[in-house]
Amino acid sequence: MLLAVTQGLGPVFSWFFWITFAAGLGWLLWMSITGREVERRIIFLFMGLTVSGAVLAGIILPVQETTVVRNVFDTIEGLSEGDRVLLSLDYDPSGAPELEPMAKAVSQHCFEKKLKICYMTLWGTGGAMITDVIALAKVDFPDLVYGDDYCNVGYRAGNEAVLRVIASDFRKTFPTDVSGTSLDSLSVMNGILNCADFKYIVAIGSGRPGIKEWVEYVVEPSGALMGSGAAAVSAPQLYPYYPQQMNGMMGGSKGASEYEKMLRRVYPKFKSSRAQATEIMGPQTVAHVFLMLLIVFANISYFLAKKRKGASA
Amino acid sequence: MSQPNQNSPFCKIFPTLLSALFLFTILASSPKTLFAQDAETSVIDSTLENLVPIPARPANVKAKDHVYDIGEKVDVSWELSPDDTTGLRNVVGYIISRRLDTASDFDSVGAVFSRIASLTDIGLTKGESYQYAVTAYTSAGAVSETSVSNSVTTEQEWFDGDKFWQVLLLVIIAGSVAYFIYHAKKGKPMFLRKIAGLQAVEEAIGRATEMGRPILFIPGIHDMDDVQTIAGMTILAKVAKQVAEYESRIFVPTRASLAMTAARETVREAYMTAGRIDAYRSDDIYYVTDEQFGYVAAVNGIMTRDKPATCFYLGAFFAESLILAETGNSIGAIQIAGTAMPAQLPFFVAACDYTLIGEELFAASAYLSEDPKQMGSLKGQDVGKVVAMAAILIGAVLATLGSEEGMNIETFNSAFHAFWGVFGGGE
Amino acid sequence: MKRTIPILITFITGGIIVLAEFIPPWAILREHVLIYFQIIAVFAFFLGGGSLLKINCQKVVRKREDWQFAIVTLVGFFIMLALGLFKMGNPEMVDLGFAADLNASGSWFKNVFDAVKAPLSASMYSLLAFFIASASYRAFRAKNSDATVLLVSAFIILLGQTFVGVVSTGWMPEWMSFFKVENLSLWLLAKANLAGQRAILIGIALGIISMSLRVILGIERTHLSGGDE
Repeated sequence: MLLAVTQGLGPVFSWFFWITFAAGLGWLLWMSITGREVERRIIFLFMGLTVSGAVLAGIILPVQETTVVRNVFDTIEGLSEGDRVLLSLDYDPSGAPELEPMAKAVSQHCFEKKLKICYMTLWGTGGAMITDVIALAKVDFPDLVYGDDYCNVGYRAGNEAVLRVIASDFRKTFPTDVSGTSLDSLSVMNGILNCADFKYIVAIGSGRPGIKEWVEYVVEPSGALMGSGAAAVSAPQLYPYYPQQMNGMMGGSKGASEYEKMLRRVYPKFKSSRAQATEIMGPQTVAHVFLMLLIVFANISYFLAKKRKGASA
Repeated sequence: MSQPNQNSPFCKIFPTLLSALFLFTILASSPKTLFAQDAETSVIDSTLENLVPIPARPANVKAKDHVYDIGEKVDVSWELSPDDTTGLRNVVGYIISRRLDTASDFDSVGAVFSRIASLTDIGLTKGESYQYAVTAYTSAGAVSETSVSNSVTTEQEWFDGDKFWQVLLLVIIAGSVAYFIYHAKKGKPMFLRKIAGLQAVEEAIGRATEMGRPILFIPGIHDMDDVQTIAGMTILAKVAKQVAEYESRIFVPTRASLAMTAARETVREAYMTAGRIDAYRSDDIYYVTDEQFGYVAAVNGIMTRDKPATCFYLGAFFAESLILAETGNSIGAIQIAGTAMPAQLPFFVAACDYTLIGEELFAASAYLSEDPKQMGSLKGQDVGKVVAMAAILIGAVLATLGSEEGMNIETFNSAFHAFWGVFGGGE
Repeated sequence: MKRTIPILITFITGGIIVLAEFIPPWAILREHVLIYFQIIAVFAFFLGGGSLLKINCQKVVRKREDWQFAIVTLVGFFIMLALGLFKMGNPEMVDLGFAADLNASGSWFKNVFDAVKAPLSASMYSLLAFFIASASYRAFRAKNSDATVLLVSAFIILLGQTFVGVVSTGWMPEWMSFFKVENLSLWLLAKANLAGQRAILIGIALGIISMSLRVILGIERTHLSGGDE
């Protein structure tokens, strides 16, 4: 098991990392047993070391596929050439580490299947995110033609109001794309009148307006088919909508890494492309383990303190 | 629903663009012949007929005004062509076209897959009469004769009958809230569950005053269009009044400009009521930035520099909840939080001294006002809770006994579906 | 007067928004009301920006504590404003003029956004990792039965999110699969957590109805201007 965990490490760094980490944990345990409170800054330091160590070591862990993510993948896999997909990127730079890998993987998948993507966002800061994702996708598909293979309608202010309108009439809110070109002159948007005309909608978001609003204002009234990608913090709140209102969901980096794995399993050509989420999963797992140890230590310390109190009383 | 049932494959309109492309070419080249109403079978000449077998046409095309709309939709239905997905003349889809009664030519409005026998046409004009034509086409690109529908006039409805049950529920709940508001007997004390977080407000302000340190109030990170922000503002009014009375100082950094304006008004009025308008400083209530984490950075900065003795977080919060509350915890402030964002509640519970959970945030203003009318509204809310609990209980029993996944007992099955129709928002 | 008019506006617009849900022809009115909110919010933005400038300028002029940082704020404010308004360095400017995409790659706005705003924003967000560590070290202690339930479920969900957890119960035979950590954790999220969430949500929904009614009927008016009559 330890071997599996450390497979990505260089030998010297690996040993250094694990010995320091173990020594630190031992010290923390000793502090807990002797009933001393550990100052928060020390915990911060440990957290920092744990995560940065794991990042530097490039720990890659195996990923297990789950149905809720596979549903999104299979839906896209089942579409046929030329079908249109709406990709809404409703996040900002703070959400990007978790959500950009999803947007990238879904874009790669769509372009590989020769589907056409329309990008949009409900967040003012989302425009930059779209530009980034398109640039990332273009690495593998340099020949993509704007207007024929994809388009970017950008951002419109109005939050839920935007969704309410595009559910029945896409062009009322987005008469033009982000550079002011009429949608009528973009072949991607040919025949798209409302959201239900897209074969699939993938809403990737980290807050409000986001996935919940997509469900309420677009999926419910128009019956469009939707999948989603959510930040790990908000994913638990979205389970009520699965599988009725959204047929699949990628939750946090874990969901994104599963999607990356599926993509590489079906299309080995992407193996050379950087799997950002899978890279994040290693450090995240190490951080989780550290967190669990902290909780265990805290409880050891608490119980021993209680026992001592009981003995002295 | 403006479109047909979402389970029907119909929601995949325009799906067969590729196969339909061929057809559109034909449509474009000879629209008149295709849509000629009297069956001119010589449309496609005999040579072509020999090559591609012509499918039978869809029969009985009907157009009906869509109910509960503003007169912009028409439901078109037809009987499938006998060649639908079978045989040599394999029909793979239908093309639907429309014309104004007064016009002569039909214009294509959409295409659907085979096996689908309906379409809702949208974007029409109220009070106009339309006629529809449906044509079947095969995978080889052959097109059937056209069947033409009756003429239909679009009408506008003034009530969305699909939402009858929602209206009824709303009337019951809102009605009982209104009833208790207006029948709240003045003077007669009403029992209210104690909310620890609110009882601590005065003590928390007093402590800050004793320590000579300011109070920080964050009305959430949403604008005034969120009712949570309004709830935060109403609590701010009470807090500010007490701050004024105690001659302490309050900082309200906001993330929305409109929230800043509202907060200034609220605090100014509170100082006025307390008779200390001279102590009111509008610059203590200020806009920081709309950028979420920029705002968090600014608030964290205020906390570590000014070390407020008491922090209030009352409103809508997202990922910043824990960042704010942990920083507040690190400076040893008493912290009172309240939000209706379920995801953030655990963070506040972990890091704050008191947390108002969900509805308690909304109840707070009524609770603090001690106005019988407002407290009456809380009682009205309880009627809603009784309805919800009853619905959950009955629904669970019916689903267990009647649903296909449950015991599937016939008698309960229909009752379950009827019940689902009321509370589940339609079949 | 000062209160009657706002209450009247609240009553009318609130009423329209509620009723438009059930009266199809009013849907357009509701849309208009929402658009008006956006327009008014834009004007309020000037107030907000004004307040920001005023406070920071005062800080600099009066040389209050940490006034140097106020300069950073002001400079940043004006730089971004200029870059955004004039779409400097935007490659699309040549063809499209001011209609060019603010975030077109290569535009200075986008460059500053990528180089400054994105990393700053992401680092603030990442602080969560540290705060979650210190918060869980402090809060997740089995002080009583409630806290123990919280502790155990938190532990299972954390385990379920990691590869370690999946491996630790990977040996379980098929009939025990419910007790595999990943399934337990999913069960906690999708059943136990969901039931609790829904109860809270129903309470919140009712709270919102009651609060909104108080606001629409003008009984709750502190947000218009504080205090009692």
